[in-house]
Amino acid sequence: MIRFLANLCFAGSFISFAITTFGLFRVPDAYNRMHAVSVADSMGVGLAVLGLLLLSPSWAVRIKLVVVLALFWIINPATSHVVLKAGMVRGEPLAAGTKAMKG
Amino acid sequence: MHRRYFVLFLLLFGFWLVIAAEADLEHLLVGVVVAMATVWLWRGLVPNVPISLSARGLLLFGRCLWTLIWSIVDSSISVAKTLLFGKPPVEPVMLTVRPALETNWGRVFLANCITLTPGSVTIDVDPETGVFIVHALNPEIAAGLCSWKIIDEIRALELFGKERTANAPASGRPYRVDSVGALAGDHGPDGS
Repeated sequence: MIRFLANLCFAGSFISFAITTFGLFRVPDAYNRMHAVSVADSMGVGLAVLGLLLLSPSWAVRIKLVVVLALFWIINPATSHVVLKAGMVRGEPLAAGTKAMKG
Repeated sequence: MHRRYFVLFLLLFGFWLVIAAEADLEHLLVGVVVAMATVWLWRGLVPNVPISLSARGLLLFGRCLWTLIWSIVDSSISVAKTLLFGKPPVEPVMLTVRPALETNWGRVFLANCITLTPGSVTIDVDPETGVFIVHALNPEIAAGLCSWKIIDEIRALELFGKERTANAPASGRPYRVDSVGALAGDHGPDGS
């Protein structure tokens, strides 16, 4: 049963990465490509780690996996932000029809 | 104060033990030396190291984490539909929003959550005004961000931190610097 659930997580992770790869070609600009990538970065990695957690033989490995996921979920948004801000500063054009909205 | 140095050392040494491959003498010695050196290098942050864990704080943080994980799952499905079937279509939005957060760490935490959730990326946060510039995949996601309940949950964490700081004994420093603020280059009112 555990093995089945872990395989389900790995399948979900694989699908997330496949959607990201497909999405990279479907969206118009660099800013939107970042949204496509975030599906793999958040959901894909999360499911992969969940699957590995289910198959882990010891608590030492489980704690390491949680640390890996935590670091990934902290570092990845920071780098995404830096890449987009660099694009903004360097004048990377926005897709046609991008609206401005005030919250 | 010494207790805080020791707590930081224990935290770093514990982290080393978790990531080290083995717990033999060589690894333990390297861990002790590196943890001590790190405590010395980051001694400016020591007054902000929490020396006790609070159940309420953990509960509030757990609630934020749960909301974040649920939002990641929900947004991933929504973004996947957009990417695969074009429903809802890609209609990018550049959103300017000012969430009711006061601390630097609260804003950094929210910016991280926004970027981690598929469909929205924080481009910039103005530390003076607290205004966020966010790129969203479509207007629905942008509208959802403005009323996202994690903002209230982070606000509750901020208020809890404020209460604890108000009740804590003085650290002996001339001004209060939170750790994230220190990293971001915040300084005290005297400009030091």
